Amino acid sequence: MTKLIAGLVVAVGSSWAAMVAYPFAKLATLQPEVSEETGGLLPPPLPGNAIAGQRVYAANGCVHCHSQQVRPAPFATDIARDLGTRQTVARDYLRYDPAFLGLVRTGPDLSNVGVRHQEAAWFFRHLYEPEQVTPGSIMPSFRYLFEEREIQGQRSALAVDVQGPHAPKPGYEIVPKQDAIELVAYLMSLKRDYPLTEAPPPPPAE
Amino acid sequence: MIQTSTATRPAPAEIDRSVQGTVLFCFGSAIFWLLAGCLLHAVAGAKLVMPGFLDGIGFLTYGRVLPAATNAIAFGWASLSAIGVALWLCARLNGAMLRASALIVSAVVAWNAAVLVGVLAILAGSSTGIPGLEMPGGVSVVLLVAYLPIGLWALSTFRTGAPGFVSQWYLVAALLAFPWLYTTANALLVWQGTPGSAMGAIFAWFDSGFFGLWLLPIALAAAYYFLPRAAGRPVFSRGLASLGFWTLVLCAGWMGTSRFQGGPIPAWMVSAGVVAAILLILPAIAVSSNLYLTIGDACERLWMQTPARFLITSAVFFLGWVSLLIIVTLPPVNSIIQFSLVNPGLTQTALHGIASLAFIGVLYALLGVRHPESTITPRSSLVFWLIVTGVGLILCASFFGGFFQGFALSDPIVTFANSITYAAPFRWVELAGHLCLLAAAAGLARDFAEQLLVSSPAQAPKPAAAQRPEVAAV
Amino acid sequence: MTDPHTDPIVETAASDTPATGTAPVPQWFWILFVVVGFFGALYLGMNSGGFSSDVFNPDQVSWAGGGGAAAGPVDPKVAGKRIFTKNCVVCHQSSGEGVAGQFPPLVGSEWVVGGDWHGDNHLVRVLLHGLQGPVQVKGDTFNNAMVPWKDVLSDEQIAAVLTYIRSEWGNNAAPIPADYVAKVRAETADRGEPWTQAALKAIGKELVSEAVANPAPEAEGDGPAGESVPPEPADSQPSAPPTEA
Ligand code: HEC
Ligand code: HEC
Repeated sequence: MTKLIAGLVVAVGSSWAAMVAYPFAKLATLQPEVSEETGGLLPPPLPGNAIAGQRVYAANGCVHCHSQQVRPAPFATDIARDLGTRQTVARDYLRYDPAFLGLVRTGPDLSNVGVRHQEAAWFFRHLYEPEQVTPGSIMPSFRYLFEEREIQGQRSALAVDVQGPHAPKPGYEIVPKQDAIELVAYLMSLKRDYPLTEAPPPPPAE
Repeated sequence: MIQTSTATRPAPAEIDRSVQGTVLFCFGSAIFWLLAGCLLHAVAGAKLVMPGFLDGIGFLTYGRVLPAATNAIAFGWASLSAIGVALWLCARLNGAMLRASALIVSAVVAWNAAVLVGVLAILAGSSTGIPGLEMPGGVSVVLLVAYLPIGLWALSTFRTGAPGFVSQWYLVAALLAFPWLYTTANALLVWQGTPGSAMGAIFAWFDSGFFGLWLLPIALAAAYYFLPRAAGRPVFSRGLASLGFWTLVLCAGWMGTSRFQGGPIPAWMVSAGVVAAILLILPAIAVSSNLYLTIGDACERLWMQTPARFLITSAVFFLGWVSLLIIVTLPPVNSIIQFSLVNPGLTQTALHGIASLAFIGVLYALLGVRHPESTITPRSSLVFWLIVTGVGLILCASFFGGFFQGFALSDPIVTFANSITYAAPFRWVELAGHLCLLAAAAGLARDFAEQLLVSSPAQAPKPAAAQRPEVAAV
Repeated sequence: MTDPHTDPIVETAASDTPATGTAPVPQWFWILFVVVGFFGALYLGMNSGGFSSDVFNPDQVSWAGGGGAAAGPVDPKVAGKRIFTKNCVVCHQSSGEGVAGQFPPLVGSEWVVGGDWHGDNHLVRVLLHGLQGPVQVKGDTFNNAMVPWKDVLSDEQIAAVLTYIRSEWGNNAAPIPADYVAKVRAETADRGEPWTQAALKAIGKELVSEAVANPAPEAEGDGPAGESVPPEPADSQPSAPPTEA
């Protein structure tokens, strides 16, 4: 029995040391880098709303359809497909907890969605009714992160522009709840467009 | 174990009587979770093909229903039935009577309550967002506390002597690995977060270990115990069994990171994961050839016995799963299918094709103790074929669909929308597979309930030694 | 009681457990074992990224540990710039101009490029052990302290950062090779505290070009060759050969 247990501790412990202790010591302690050009920190700090948005992203299981990793060329075609300009590396994620690396791409990779789309209004419209923005989308609608309320005086600056079956009643408007505002701040923070020491530059265009 | 003195060892029938209430309770609640999990999984599958289905409702959104389903299956069905199998096998192999059944039953009750809270919390939007570990931190504390008496009792049965038989090694490995895996993963990812991509490696270690070091060893322990008995032969080779065991416990922890090829995990860790996944061929071949050489020409006879049929098929799925896993892990293939339907499909195959089949086989063996006819019945055969069909549909759909989708996802001139279109028909097939599993769960629940209700425990069992060999082999 | 080894099926109290046969492990299994193990090790070796925690693309660095070779020789000035950015800019600024009254400049500093009594041996000593007390730099007096770097940076890294500050911002002095740093480190191994200007002045001036007896490749001006560049941060970016794709 002692021999069996000792063997198990060695066999399982080796993978524990390599796959748990090592990344915990090496990756979880990474520090941001000072930009050689601007002197700012890379990756840049996140706004508070974006940090809060991680909770909403987790709660609604976006990670079950969206990955957040750009793989290097020539191993994969992620860069040729404009999912990013370079491979994502550990330092890219140090501000996120948890990092939503994701395992499937039922929807597109979101590592750089904040580069592709710069307007919060686009994100709100898409979350409210993905079909309207991308016909044929199978992404679920996140209408429940919005509320319909009576327009008081001026239309809210955040009001979502919706037509179709889920459009608001006349005199009403659709506005994002706090959760949606935070979620969109998080999505807009997803930009890996800065250089990092350990991320090799993209190979020259073919 | 054979050396253990005859005098101190209670008769198998006595042992069975002492554990069967507890084990049947584990299985009963596990079957509830199998039903719930399969139902939720089918709903999630339906949402992918009909996005309008139950759309726009917070607690029924795809991103909540899917993790609710996988957690119900992993912690409700698979872990509870694994616990049931482990309790029974530990008692039998070590000649121990379960005297503390009240304690164990209360632990199982607590476990069930925790899973219920966890699944509801996921649906209510308190998921942690870490695949496989979505249940909130409080739930995992309760699960670990509930595991404590179960694991301690099961391990304490080994006091009687050196674990000389293969099944015993697997049981010890699983019983120790589960708390190790689950405590580590929760401590570093749930109770307190770990920022950055370290999370990926830790989660991968947990996820591959959860199957490879917890569910799989218990399934193999069952196969190594029941198949030689049913065939009436000794296990073919101790050396082969031992090689198969040690290569499995080594590879299962290391292989997790192979899913992050090209990802933000240091290259050597990913490469080590790939190698470990490929080395998995060794335990797969060692186990399946050892069992095959043990059974030999008894195969046809065993096929007509419910437990043996489930266990043999489970071993075949083990070999098949490993072979496919290796193919899709090879880097040139992996770069295409990495984020497609393939990997989730393989996970389902492993879970239901290997673990569920084995555990249900053991359940039928236990029911057979009460109703000593172990030959296949139309009911058990239906459950068997529904599971095999369900897993087969999911596997085929995820493979063929995954390759189409993967090519669409990796060819720079094909738009993303095409990857949805290409995968769509296969998602329907996958949904059909999940519906088969749901039907199997329902059939199993009905069979289980009937067998329990039809006869009261008082009438069964007859002393095992009086049975014909096949029956005793149960 | 039947012998459990021959008849495990008969359920007696003692032989509930199936027996285990002693057939040897089949030969083909050992062959498989060796073949799979060999190719596994080979694959891991070729895709290990030098077992470094900051290599994420195994193509970047290949087998043979000294991955630098496959990635091409690393320009020490590029590596030096990175080390400078990480360790020195907070005080000396990325312009190398320092902060008046607090942190002395490196641009045109006699400490850096050499002066009447300032030799390369002094510069390396300053970096290894730090500097404190009043010092004159380009005619201004600073009275502050710089920490030692000997435990933070390796010989290669010190050589790279010095080579960088000696060739940037219009400075133009010979590169400092790593083995020269190693030599000075060895000479001053028992120094426990930072240097002062007075203590340094007492040491005779020495230049790299004179000190390295065998001036062959390094002292030529090529800087340290591929293998002697700082191993940690340098393996990656600068050198990824643009021709690979
Ligand atoms: C059922 C799977 C699924 C889930 C769950 C899901 N998405 Fe999507 N998502 C998709 C698909 C498919 C697309 C591509 C079609 C489209 O643009 O709508 C997409 C597209 C997107 C896009 C646009 C990407 C681009 O580059 O144009 C964003 C942003 C997005 N999703 C965010 C989210 C967020 C945030 C969540 C969680 C609240 C989420 N998704 C949940 C499937 C999903
Ligand atoms: C904490 C601030 C600090 C950091 C970081 C720092 N230095 Fe200094 N350095 C000083 C100070 C202060 C002096 C002057 C010491 C004195 O007044 O005695 C100095 C002096 C020097 C000198 C000699 C005077 C001169 O200006 O030529 C050199 C060369 C030098 N540092 C190089 C470096 C290099 C290379 C690094 C990075 C590895 C570095 N320093 C990092 C504060 C710093």
